Amino acid sequence: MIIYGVALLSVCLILGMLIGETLGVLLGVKANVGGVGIAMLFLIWASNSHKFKALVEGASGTGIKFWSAMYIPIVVAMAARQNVAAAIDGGLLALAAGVAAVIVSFALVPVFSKIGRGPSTSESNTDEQGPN
Amino acid sequence: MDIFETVFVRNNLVVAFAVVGVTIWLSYFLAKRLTNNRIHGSAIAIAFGLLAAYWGGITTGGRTGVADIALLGGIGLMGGGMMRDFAIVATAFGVHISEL
Repeated sequence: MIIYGVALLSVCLILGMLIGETLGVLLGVKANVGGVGIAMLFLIWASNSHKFKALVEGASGTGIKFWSAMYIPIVVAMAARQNVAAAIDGGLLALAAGVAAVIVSFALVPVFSKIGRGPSTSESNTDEQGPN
Repeated sequence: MDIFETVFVRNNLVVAFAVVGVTIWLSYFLAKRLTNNRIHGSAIAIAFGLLAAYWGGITTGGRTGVADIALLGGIGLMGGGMMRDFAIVATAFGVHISEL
């Protein structure tokens, strides 16, 4: 049942958020401290535990995989609801800094890829990828 | 026109799924055709999203980008904090503790 997986995911998120809010109160921060991360740890633990096998395998698992695959579309929707107009109006300097950082990073790509090849530039590109 | 608006506003989350889907399809198409996949389709899709948000902001004067347009209100729900956290947590699925 797909809903079992979705329900497990929901319970993990709610538990994580509750712990995150509690941590926020304890630390005197008016925010959720690590709720999403704690929820992820719960889900990882549940998906590796034998007790929850029925909730993460087969059809139940596809209920979680669906939401995992929806992450990028949701990020696109998030981008589409940002207050971009105000950001451009009020923060031209920040915008310029961001654009400059991206341009510099792109310019550094060839430099870094040369470093990655290291001393063996005389050899042909047999070891293009260093050990990871 | 009234019927059109009623359907879109009542089903705004479904409209959001469709609009985001079309945007992503177009982005992946452009990524493949124009950049030979050097720029990932999702990056182009996010750029489209930001452009749309800018356009929504200047036309409506609101604060939530394209979601201030009544017909696209579902984008606000789809891109809201709840769905975002739900999907992020789901990405942890399939991680094996032995691989950490």
